[in-house]
Formats: sequence, C-alpha cells, structure tokens
Amino acid sequence: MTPARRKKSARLYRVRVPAELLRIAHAMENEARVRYGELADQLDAHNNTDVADLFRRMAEIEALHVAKVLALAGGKITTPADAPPFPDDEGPETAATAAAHYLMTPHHALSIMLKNEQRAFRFYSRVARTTKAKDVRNLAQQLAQEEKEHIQLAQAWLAKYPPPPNGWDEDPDPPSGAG
Amino acid sequence: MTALPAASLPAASRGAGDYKSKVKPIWCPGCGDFGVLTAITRALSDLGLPPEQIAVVSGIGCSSRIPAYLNAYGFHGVHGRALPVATGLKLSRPDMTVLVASGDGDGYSIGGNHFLHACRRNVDLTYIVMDNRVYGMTKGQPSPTTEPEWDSELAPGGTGLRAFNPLVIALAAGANFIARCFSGNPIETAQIIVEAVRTPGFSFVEILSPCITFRPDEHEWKKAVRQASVSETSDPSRAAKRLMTDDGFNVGILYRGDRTPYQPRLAPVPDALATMAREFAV
Repeated sequence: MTPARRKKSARLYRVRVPAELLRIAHAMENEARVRYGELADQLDAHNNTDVADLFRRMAEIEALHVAKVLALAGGKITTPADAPPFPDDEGPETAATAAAHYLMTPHHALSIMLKNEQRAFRFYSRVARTTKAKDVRNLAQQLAQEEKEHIQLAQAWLAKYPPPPNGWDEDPDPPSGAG
Repeated sequence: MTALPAASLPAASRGAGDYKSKVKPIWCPGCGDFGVLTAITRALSDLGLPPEQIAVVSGIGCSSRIPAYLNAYGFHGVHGRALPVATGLKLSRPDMTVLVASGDGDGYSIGGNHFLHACRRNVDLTYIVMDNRVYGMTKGQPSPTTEPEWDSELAPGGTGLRAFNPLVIALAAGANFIARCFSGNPIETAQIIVEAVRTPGFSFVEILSPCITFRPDEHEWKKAVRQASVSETSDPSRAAKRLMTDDGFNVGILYRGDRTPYQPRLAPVPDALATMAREFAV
C-alpha cells in the first residue's frame, strides 16, 4: 500500500457510530464472500477442484459472517448487498485476484485466507483503538475477537497442509487464455 | 457527445455485480485481467449506466474475452479491428457508451494502425488496453511492449527491439485523455475508467495487467507501480515530456485535453421497414 493510500485508509478507521461500523463490516464480509466464490470458479475452470472446493467453503464461511453482521444490525443494513466497503480500496478481508495460480495447492489457498483474516483483525483492532465512542469500541472489539477465532481456524487448517516443494508452479505446457 | 454529468446519474441503483454476466471467465487464475473486470464493473456501477446503454467491443486475445463476462452489449471481433467496429457503432449510435477492450498485441501490433487513427479521429470512445507485454493466448511470444532483453524459450536472448510506448504515441496522435492504471488496484482503476468515460473524445486507458503464466516476473509490478507524483495536465508539451521520461510505472491520469470529439451529423434514417413492406407487398 502506498503512503497516500494508507493515509486514506486511516481516515476510514474513524468510525463514529455502530451503524457505520456494521455497514462497513457487512460490505467487507460480503466482498470477501464474492471474491472467494470467484476464486472457486477460476480454479474450477482449470480443473483444480481441491482448491476450488476450499475456496467455496471459505465463501460459505463468509456468508455466515454476512448473516451474523446483519443480525447484529437488527437486519437494518439498507445499502445494496454488493456495495463496496470503502470508496478507495477493497476491504482488508478481500483476497487479491492476483494471489491465485492455476497450480496452487490447498496450502496456498489457506495462506491467502490467513492473511485476509489477519488484515481484518488489524482493521477492527485499529477501529477499537482509535474511536472515541464506547459503543463503537465494544462492537469493534467483538468483531476483532471473531476474526481472531478465524485466524486460529485458518492456522489449524494450515497445519494439515504443509507447503508444496519448490517447483510446484512449473508446467512444461502451460494453458493458453483460450482455456 | 458531451460528458455524462455526474449529477444526472441515478444514485447507486445497480451494484457492480449487476454488470457481470453469468459466463465464468477462463483466464488463468491470478491473471491481471480479473482485476480489470472488477474495475470495469465497479466503474459502470459508479456511472449508473443502464446495461442496455453500454456496448463493449473487443478484438482477439485473452483480454478480448471480456465482453462475454460483462452484462452489456458485446462484440468479440476480429484481431486488431476492435476500434473500427467501435467507431462505426459510436458514430451511428452516439447515445450509447462504447468501451473498447484490447491487449498489447491486438491493440498495438495487429491493430496498431487503427490505434493511431482512432486517436486522431477523437471519437467519443473509451479504449482500455490490458498490457501484459506478451502474447498469452498463443503461449508467450514477445509483443510490441515487451522489453528488448526479455529472455524466453520463444525469443532466446530477447528480441533486442525497442519497446513501443503507447502513451506517447496516443498523445502524439491526438488522444484526448491518457491514463495508466494497474490491475492490482481495481478500485483506483475503476475511478480512472469513470473519468475516461466522462471525458468527451477518445480516452485511452493503459492498464498494466500481469500475465502470471508466461511472465511470472510481472508479479513484481505491484512493487514498482506508484501514483504519478505530478497532477494531470492539459498541456501536451508537458505531458509529452512526462511520458517520454517516466519508467512506465507511474499510474494516474496523465493527460486530459479539450478537443471536440468527432461526431458527424447523422443522415435521417429512412423508414426502412415500411419501404421493405411496400416493396414486398403482394
């Protein structure tokens, strides 16, 4: 992230009311859900079904988070389902499309998930640290705690999938864009 | 055609997802073109354009598959010929927003001649070129923007040829809006595409879009790209100096002119159906 973008993002952390934090959380979780679904489709298209299934499962987990945030808001989030969380950047829990590879393994997918959850944890923790509103702080701490649990879940899964040997991405006959 | 005034746009009535088609992309996972797709759908959502008022015209290559993945009118055309098709469409239907999608091979080599004249004509189009500096669809041959020293199985030792500088060419040929983006920053890219569409005339948006399969070295682009340290200019001589001296990784709007777009007055359309009905009446 460039200094200018970091400065912009820092401004976004100054959330004043719980409803605003819930709107951001709802959009963040939903954006992450959509992206995991897209990654699953991408890996399916290249017959990497193990990783596709894993991404699909991550999308399902994010869908549960979306529902949970909506419940916390009493069902009162009125922005469109795919409204972006921030005007200037994708949310901290959203996987970068560039992180994928057609030969990637479950280890890589879980590493992506772990990084996303860590970023989300840092985001909520920072909101909790910087806000002056007690109700926002309490909510941010609750959301950060949930992300901490997700980090532990990702780490537990990751322990079952060690990194592949070097050369995992070597392919004497790589695909063409024509599929 | 005049720029779309932001005030008249409907307020966020369609999300980015509404501009995605049901066709699943078959690009290699990790391809920069996914970021471009995200950016375009976000831009169309920000512009609030109805899908039936948008046409996306492309040529041939990985990037040119993009019309199929968008919920808008699409034309996946002939290699290098997206711009003439889009020009004809825009001139006959000035009410439509026409985006043109291409890659560095399709746009600068096979379609290089059309690129020059599209800039010169200054028809109100937004030309998005996904530049990965390689022919990906045909498995990794050097393209016009490939670095001369890029060594590969298909070009051992590199081509030794000076790389094409599309932004300088666009400026010299008369493009009215010139920007560079990075697919890894889809939200910033979306904001620039919005500006490109709103600016009348020929808008050229070069997007650095890594090919992770044939150019894994392009993973490093995310470390190289930076916001241009200077603000946009409307002075062609300043823009020329800036574009001639940058290293190809400054992103942002680099030039915005005020040329009047080319839009001839349309001849009245004859009532073709009624004429045909009379001719074929029995």
